Amino acid sequence: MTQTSETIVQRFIEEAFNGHDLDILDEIVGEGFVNHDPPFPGLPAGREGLKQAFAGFWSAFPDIQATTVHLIADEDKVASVVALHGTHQGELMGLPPTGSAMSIRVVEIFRVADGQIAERWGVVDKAALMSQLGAVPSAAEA
Amino acid sequence: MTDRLGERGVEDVSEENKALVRRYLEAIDNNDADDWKVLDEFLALDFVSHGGLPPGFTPDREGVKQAAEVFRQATPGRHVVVDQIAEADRVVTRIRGYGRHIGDHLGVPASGNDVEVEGWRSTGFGTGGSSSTGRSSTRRRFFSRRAFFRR
Repeated sequence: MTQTSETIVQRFIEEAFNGHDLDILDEIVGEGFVNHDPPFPGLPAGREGLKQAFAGFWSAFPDIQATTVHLIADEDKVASVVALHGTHQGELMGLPPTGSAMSIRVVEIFRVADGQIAERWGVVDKAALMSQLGAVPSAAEA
Repeated sequence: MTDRLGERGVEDVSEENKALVRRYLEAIDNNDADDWKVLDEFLALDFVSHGGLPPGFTPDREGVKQAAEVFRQATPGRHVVVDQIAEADRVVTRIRGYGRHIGDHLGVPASGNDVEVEGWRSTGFGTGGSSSTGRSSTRRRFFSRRAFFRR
């Protein structure tokens, strides 16, 4: 079955991330995958770094879910706008669990080649994330 | 889709929308006055910002204008479009912003530092202005936007 680029990114979000299934990444993410904007410092390059990033989110937010707001495709690239929701129940980049609810939006671009994700660009809104977890004052309070 | 787009194809409209986002950013960069009427050409009357504006600004066209004025005074500079992806009535734009922090920015006093930010905007489009006003126009405008930036 030939999968469209959008289908591959949908599986990335739904089956791999929401479904906590790292094995699917071996199928839909290329071995030479390049993550131009890794969400955490110190991650190894390639697909392994992506797996560790997923595991980092699941560990910090065991109930985390990504809801796709928009998914658009243009030639070999797919852009996604995703809402992330979860409860901070594990350590996150040195921050002990706060029990706080987190709700942020993430915009990502994926390049798909030969049926696999080859590159990713994206920005996790760490300022909003840390503000919601009380790690930094919100701009309104600053 | 064909009815709404008329004789133009989806790809034509996508390219038009990409260009409209680029012109919008140029209009912001080129504005050197506190009057932001220039954005009326790009933002629909019922434009909704679903994120990306600093706290305290209303998520509408007026809020965008007020935020643009804060940035113009605090961190004047320019935007560079790094990448754009479009499909039908939606464009995602990857942007780098360059400026110098010469004025109070949301409570942070001027530092004189050069600042560089990278972010994304996801922009939806509609035709004409707000239907609630009965305004009629064939000009395409943003009707909603999502954005955030990393500093």
